[in-house]
Amino acid sequence: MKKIKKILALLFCLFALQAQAADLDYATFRALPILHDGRVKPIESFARIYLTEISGAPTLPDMTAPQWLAEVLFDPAHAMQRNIIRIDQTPIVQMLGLPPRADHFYSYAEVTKAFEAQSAAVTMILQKSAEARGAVENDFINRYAAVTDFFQLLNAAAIIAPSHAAITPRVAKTFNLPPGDLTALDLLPHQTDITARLDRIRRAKGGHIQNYNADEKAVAHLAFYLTNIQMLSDGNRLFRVIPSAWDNNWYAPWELITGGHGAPQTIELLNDWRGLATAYDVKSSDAFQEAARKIQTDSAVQTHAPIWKLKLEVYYQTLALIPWAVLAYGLYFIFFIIAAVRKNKISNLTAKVSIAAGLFIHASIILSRVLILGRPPVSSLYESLLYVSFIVVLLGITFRRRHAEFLPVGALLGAIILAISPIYAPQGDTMNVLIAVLNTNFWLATHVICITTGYGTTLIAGTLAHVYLFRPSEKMALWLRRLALFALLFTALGTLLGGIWADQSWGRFWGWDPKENGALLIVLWLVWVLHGRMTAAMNPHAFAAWLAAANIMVALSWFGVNLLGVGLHSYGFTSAAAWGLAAFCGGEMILIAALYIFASARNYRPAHAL
Amino acid sequence: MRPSRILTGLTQPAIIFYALPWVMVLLILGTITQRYAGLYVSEHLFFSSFIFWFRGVPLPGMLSILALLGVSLIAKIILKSPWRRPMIGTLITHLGALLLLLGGLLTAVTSHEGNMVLAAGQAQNFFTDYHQRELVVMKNGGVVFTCSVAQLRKGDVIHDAALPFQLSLQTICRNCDLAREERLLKLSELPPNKTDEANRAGIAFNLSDGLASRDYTALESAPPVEIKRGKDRYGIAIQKHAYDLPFAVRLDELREDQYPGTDIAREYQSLVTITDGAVHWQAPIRMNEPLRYRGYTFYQAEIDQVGPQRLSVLAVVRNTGRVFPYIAGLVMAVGMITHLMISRKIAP
Repeated sequence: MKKIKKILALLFCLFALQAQAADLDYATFRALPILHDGRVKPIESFARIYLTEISGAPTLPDMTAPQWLAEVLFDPAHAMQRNIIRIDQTPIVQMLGLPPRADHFYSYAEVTKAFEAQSAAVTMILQKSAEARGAVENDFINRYAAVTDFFQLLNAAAIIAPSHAAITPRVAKTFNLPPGDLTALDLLPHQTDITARLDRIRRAKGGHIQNYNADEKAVAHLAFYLTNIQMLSDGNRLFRVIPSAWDNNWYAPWELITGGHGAPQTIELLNDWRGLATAYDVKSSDAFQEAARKIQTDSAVQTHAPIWKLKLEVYYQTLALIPWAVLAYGLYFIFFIIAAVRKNKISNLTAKVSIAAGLFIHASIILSRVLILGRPPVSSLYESLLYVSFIVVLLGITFRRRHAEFLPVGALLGAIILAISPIYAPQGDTMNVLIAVLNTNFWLATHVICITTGYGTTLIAGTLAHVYLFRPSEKMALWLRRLALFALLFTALGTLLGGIWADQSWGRFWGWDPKENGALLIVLWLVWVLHGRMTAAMNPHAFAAWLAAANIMVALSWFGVNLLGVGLHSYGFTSAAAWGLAAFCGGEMILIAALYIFASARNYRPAHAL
Repeated sequence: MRPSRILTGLTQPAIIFYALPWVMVLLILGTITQRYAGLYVSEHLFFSSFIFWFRGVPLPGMLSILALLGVSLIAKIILKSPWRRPMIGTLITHLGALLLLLGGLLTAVTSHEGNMVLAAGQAQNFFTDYHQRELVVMKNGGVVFTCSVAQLRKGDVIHDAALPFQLSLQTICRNCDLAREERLLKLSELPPNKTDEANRAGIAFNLSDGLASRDYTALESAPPVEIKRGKDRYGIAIQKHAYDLPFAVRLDELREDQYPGTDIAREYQSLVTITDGAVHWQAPIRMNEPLRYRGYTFYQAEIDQVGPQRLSVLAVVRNTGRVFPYIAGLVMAVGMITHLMISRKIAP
C-alpha cells in the first residue's frame, strides 16, 4: 500500500502543470541512449516497451512512443490525465469502481484514485501467492505493475524538470538562489536552509498557510516541493540515461545525485538533460533538437557506444518491416498463380519483383537484429520464427529452377510463419539480453542455426508432400526424398550439436529434456519415413502422406514442448497457443488424410522406382 | 530356429520400420509425463527401462528397443550391407548411428554424475550423486556400513558383522518429513517432488541388540541418529552416495557478472584450486567452459544462496563414453552428405 500512497502523492505535486503536448522535433531524442534490461537501447525502443505495457500498443493514435515519453517525463501533469492505461477485464473495472468504457482506456489519475478507494481489495490480491491467483487476478497484477512503472516514468525527470515555483526576490536573495525557472537540482543544495526557515515560520505563525505572507508562502511551497520530489524520486532507477564515469553501469538522474555516482562528465550530461527538459517546457523545437544532439554527442564520447547502432534500432522499430515482407511474399504468391493461369509476362515480372523485395526486406530484418544485438539471429522462439520463415523462402529461391512449385511453397510458408511471429512477442519485440547459459555465440551460431534450418527444410518437404498428393509427379517424388534427406541431415546434425552443447555446459550429452525429445522426434520421424520408402514398406503416396505429417512433428517440437512448461529449453511458454497448435495438428491430419484418399483414388503410379 | 536364420532376421528393415514408431510413442509419453511427475520418474518409467508396464501388461521399454536396434544395425552392417559405391553414404551413416548407440551404452554403464557444493575457501575430494541415497552407519566418525536405499524394503532386517545391533525396517519413504504424533516425532510420507533432488528420503527402523529394542527415525539432510554402545558412538544417517575423487578441489572465488543495471546474470565463474598430491594449480570454471581433469569434468551449474553465504554448485561427471557422440555426429554427417552427393549424381 505504500506504493499506492506514493503514487497518489504525485497527484498533488502540481508545480509541473503546464500547456498541452508540444509539437517538437523528436528525430534525435528518439535515438538517445538508455540502459534498460541490461542493454543500451534508443529511447524509441524504451518508450515502445512501456507504452506497450501500459496501453497494449507501441504507439498512440495521436502520438508516437517518444512523444508520449517526452510528455510523461517533462509534463507529467498532463500525461497522467491522458487515457492510456488499458484495462480489458470487466471484473477489474468493476472491482476498482471505474466507469465502463468501450475503448477500455483509463487515465493514471483515475486508476490510482481507484486503487486508493479500493485499497483493501487491491492489497488482498497483491498478497496472494502466484499459485493461488486466478487469470483475472494475474491480469490485475499485470495492470498494477504497469501503473507502478508509469509512476516511475512520471517521476524519472522530476529532478531536472523546471519547477515553475513562484520564488519571490526576497526568498531568492535569502537562499542565494540563481535566477530563472529553477529545477529540483538547483534547489536541493538549499533544502536544509529552506526546511529550517519553514520550521521557524511555523513556530511563529502556526501551520496554516493562509496566515503567511508572500515570502513565507514561497518558502512553504519550496519546502513542500522538495520533500515531495524526494519522496517520489526515491528508488527511481528506471530511466538510466547517464553512463557512469567509472564502470559500465548507467544511472537514473535521481540515483546519480543521491547515490554519489557524480563526476564532471556525468554532471555535464545531467545538465544536458536539464537543457532538454527546459526546451520541452518552453516548446522550442530548435532548442529541443539542439539539446538532444548535445546529449547524443556527450553520451557517445563517454561510452564509445556507436550512434549508428542506436539509429539502426530506431529505424528497425519505426519501419516495422515484418508486415511489408509478409505482403511481398503474399503478392508473389498471388502473381505467381495469375502468371501460371494467364501466362502473362507482367504478372510474372511482378511476382519476381515481389519475391526479391520480400527477401530483401526479410534479410534486412534479420541482419538488423544481428547488428543491434551482436549475436546470431536465433535465441528466442520469436527469433526462430523470423529465421525459419527466411530459410524456407531462401530454400524456395535456391531450388526454384529444379521444380516450379518450390518457390511458391517457400513463399507461402514464409508468409504464414512470418505473419504469426508477432503472436510470440506478446510484450512487443523487446530484444532482451540472454541468460548466462545461452550467452554463447558459438553454440547459438551452430546448434540453433542448424536445428532451425532443419525445421525450415522439414516444413518445405512436408508442404511439398501435400502438393505431391494433390498433383503427383515423378520429379516431385524424387525431390521429396531428397528434401527429406536434407531435412534429416540438418535436424540430426542440429540435435547432435545440441547434445554436444549440453555436454559442454551441463555435463551430459542427452538428458531427455522435452526440447531435446522434440528435436529427436522430428529426426526419428524422418528416419522412419525414409526407411519406409527405401525398403518399399511405403508406396510413394504413403511416403508423401507420412512426410506431410512431418509438419505436425515440427509444430509439436517447435511450439508444443514450450506448452508443457518444463525443461531447460522452455523459453516461450504460452497457454493460449495450445488451442492454435491443436487446431493446426487436427487440421493437418484431416487435410493429409483427404489428400491421400484423393491421390489414391486417382490411382497414379509413378513409373520410376524411388 | 537356426542361429543363421536369427541373424538374417535381425537384418530385416522391418525391425527399424516397426521399432521406430514405438520409440516415438515412448518419447512422447515420457515427455508428457515430465510435466506431471518430473524428469526422474519419467526417465525411469520410459527411457531407462527394459520393460514398461501398462496396466499389468509388459511392453518393451526404451532400452530394449535401443538394444534391438543396435543388434540389428550390427547384423545389417556385417551381413547385409552391400559394399557398393551407391550405398557407401548409407553405410557410413549407419556406422555413425551404431557408434552413437554404443556411446549411449557405455555412458549408461560407466558414467557417474553428481554435484559438489562449495563455499569460498572450502575444499572437497568427493562429489555426491544426484539421486542415489544410502543408509550409512558410522562408528566413531568412520563409515562401517552402507546400503543403497533403493534396495531396501519394508520388513527387511539388516545384520552385519560390523554392526553390534540389527535394524528392522518399519517404514521407507522417498519423500517425507517428521510429524509430531503423541509427543513422538514420526515419519510422515509426502507426495514425491517432481525434482528428485528435492526429495528427502526417510527410514523408520527398530534397533535391537538382544538387550534393548527401540524405534528410531533417520531422515535425509538431518543430523544422524546417535547410538552409544560401550565406548563406541554410532551414527545412522541417510545420505546421497558420495564418489571419491583422486584429488581435491577448493573454491577460491565465486564471480557473478550481471548485465549492467539488472539482476540478470551474464556469466558465472568459479575460480578453483586443484590439489593432486604435491601439485596444485588454479583454474577457472565458467558457464559453457568446464574444467576437465583425470577423466572428471566440472561444470558451473548454478549459484546457491544459503542465508548470507553464496555457494557454487559444480556438476561433476565422469563419463568414458563422452567422446562417442562427437565422433558419431561427424561420421553421420559425412555419411548423409556422401549419400546426398551420390544420389544427386545418379538421379535422373
